[in-house]
Amino acid sequence: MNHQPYLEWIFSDGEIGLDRLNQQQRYEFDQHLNSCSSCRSLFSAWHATEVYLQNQSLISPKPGFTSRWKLRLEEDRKLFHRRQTKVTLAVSIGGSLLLLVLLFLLTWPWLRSPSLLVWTWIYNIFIMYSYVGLVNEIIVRVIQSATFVIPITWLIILIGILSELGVLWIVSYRLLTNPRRITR
Amino acid sequence: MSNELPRQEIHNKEAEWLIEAQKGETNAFTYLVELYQKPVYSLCYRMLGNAEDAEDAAQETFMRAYKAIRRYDNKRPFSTWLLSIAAHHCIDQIRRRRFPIISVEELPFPELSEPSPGLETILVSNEEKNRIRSLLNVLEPLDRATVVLYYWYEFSYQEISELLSLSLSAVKSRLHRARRAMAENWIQIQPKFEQLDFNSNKSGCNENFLMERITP
Repeated sequence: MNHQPYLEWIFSDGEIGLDRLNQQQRYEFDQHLNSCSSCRSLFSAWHATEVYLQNQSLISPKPGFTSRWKLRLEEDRKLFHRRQTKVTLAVSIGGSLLLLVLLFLLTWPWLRSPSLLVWTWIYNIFIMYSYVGLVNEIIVRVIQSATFVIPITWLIILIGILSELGVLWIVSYRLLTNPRRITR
Repeated sequence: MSNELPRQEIHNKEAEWLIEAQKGETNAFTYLVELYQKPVYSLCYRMLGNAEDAEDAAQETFMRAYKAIRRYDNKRPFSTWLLSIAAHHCIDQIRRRRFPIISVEELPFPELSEPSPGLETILVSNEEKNRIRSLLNVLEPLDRATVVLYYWYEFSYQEISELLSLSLSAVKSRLHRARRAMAENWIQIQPKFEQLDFNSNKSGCNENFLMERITP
């Protein structure tokens, strides 16, 4: 005996459920139930189960659910802050350690031979001194050429005008940028 | 009409609370917790079968919803979104369980210090819980979620498919399979519960019934 279509009707709803059977199908279904105890048993069991399920109402939680949720939220926030602090600390310590390692690697050759470090510094100071001397020589040359082209009197007047313009610029800059004092 | 007005008011308030909650207002979200605690808890209870786990899962659901509220799409109903979080969380919880957990409330010891509900009431209530649990326990987590959402929340196939990320045909076939499994289970468990009901209905048999329940 093929039970499949009848089981399909029993356990489906909507388009293929028992509600949508035509008269012929309904007759066949009833005939089958009369002759098949297994399908009859399943049919009545499902009917009872469905009624039972539909009679069950929603369940409420214990009183104070929202308060407990607020507490949990607070705990969660604290945990989050704690975790954030730990992460920040770990990143800082990790970064510092990494920088220390890099610094160590950079200074390692110097630490191994301090004389090299001393000689490097002496060399740097010598180079700097050479540069200062060069700049000094250039300035002297420029002044010498200027006095050769322009007479000394004109040069003094020019420097005087430039100085006065400089002072004027500083005074106007201060007046423009300083906030005005509000008095009552 | 009198029922419609508060419902409309609640709907409007809910929309306001949602907007506020999305801006980071914790108090607004607390109102939503107050409003939805029962459906969320009930879903968790039906899925997990005991009060402790249900409480924990419901709390976790609201926590996840709170953290993800900015990503919530206002076009979707909030209840569907929230119950979807709850259902998925409960499904994960059931899958993670390796061993069956027996809750304290499942033990047949009624609270003797509280005389108001009566021993019989407590025992009958526990029997009801056990019967529902026995019915649902035979189902796979996803089938269980489908049954719970269909019978207790009256969601349509379409809504369930969206909520559980399943196809429409998958929802139908899961419901079909679940109904058959529950009917077969009902045939097995019903005689036991009928016997218990009969015993509990006998007058003057409460003590014997209690002893029978407590005796291993």
